[in-house]
Amino acid sequence: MANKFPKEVYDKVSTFIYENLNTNNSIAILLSYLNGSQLSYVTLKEINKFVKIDPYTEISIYYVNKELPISTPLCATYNIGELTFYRGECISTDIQTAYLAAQNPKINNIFYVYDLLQLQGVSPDIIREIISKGTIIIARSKEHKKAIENGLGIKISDEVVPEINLERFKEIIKRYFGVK
Amino acid sequence: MNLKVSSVICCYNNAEFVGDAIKSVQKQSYQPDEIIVVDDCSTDNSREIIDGFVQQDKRIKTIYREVNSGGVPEPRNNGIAAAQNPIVSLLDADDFYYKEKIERAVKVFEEHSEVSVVYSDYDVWDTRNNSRRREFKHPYDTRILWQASIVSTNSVVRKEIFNRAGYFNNDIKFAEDYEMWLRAARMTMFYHIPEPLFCYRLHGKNVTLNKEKEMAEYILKFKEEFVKKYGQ
Repeated sequence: MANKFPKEVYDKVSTFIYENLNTNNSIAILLSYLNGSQLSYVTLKEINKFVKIDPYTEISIYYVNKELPISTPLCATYNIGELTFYRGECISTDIQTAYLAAQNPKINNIFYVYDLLQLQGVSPDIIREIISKGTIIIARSKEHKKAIENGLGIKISDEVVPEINLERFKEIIKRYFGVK
Repeated sequence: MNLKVSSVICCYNNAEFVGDAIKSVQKQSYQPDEIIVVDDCSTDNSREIIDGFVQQDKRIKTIYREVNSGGVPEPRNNGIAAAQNPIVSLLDADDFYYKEKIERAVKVFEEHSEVSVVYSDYDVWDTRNNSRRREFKHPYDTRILWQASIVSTNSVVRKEIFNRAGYFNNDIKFAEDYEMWLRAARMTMFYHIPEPLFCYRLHGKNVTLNKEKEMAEYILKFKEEFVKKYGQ
């Protein structure tokens, strides 16, 4: 149906709704792949468990390469290009998705460094940009935390999450970004 | 936790270290039900040392090969075949586990029935200059596994995966574990624990030391064969 409102009115109303009425607890998980890895396997398994326990938190996945998911996710999945329209908290799981999330000012970003070795050789400018946008960096173990801090010369969060755990991430989100 | 574990320790002329390896298994926070020590016809006093442990610990079983196999896969396969339990933890006699190695792996197996191989980060101890460094590994990803071996030999494995994917290839003298993991990756999930759970000892007699070129050629060769056989 054609939009009968003038464009500026339509834009104002949409922005108002978008910014003020979207009060859902929402967590987006950003994944490069939905298959063939420990990360995709554990994440999809955790989401499918979590949505049954906590239906009030809206979980969604933003993927870079969809291919065939390792298992069927019981949540919405979007191409990473849609991240521009997302507002809320997100967990990025690699340097690529962390960088993309940092480009959206409406996102509270947690960079969960799942693969420590992926940080090797990454340009310091990219890391700086991710951090400068208020991204919280979380490691999988104390050893990984130490290695990240030594390698990047920065202090990261004291929280350590060994494996994707949405309950745990909800607590961390509350601690760092407050309750909606 | 109620999964039963067999530990398989492979030894060849490691008299100096095999005691440490056995002790590290005996001191695990989650005890294996049997410890199988395979000696590949050592010419030093490894067997004397192993026998000393056998007298004190009834769980220890030995397989003493009469002929040296010239590589690691054959004795390792002997040990795995003899294992009576559904979980097999692998260890080379010159390395040793940290206390929670088996417990952490068993927890993963209990939580994730789809996982058949659990590996971890580890420490490398160069005894020649007494230096230590930490070796971090990638979490399991088939795309990375195809490029490089991200899974260490000293892993904990469900025995049934050897029945499904086959045992270590006796014809491969280097990186035989890598070839095995590639085969296993076609049918199961691997799991990486992001903490150091064992120590890899460098002592100048390591099989793979200074043989990088030979190893790279082997890897290239078996990858070509792998692609021919299974596709990429």
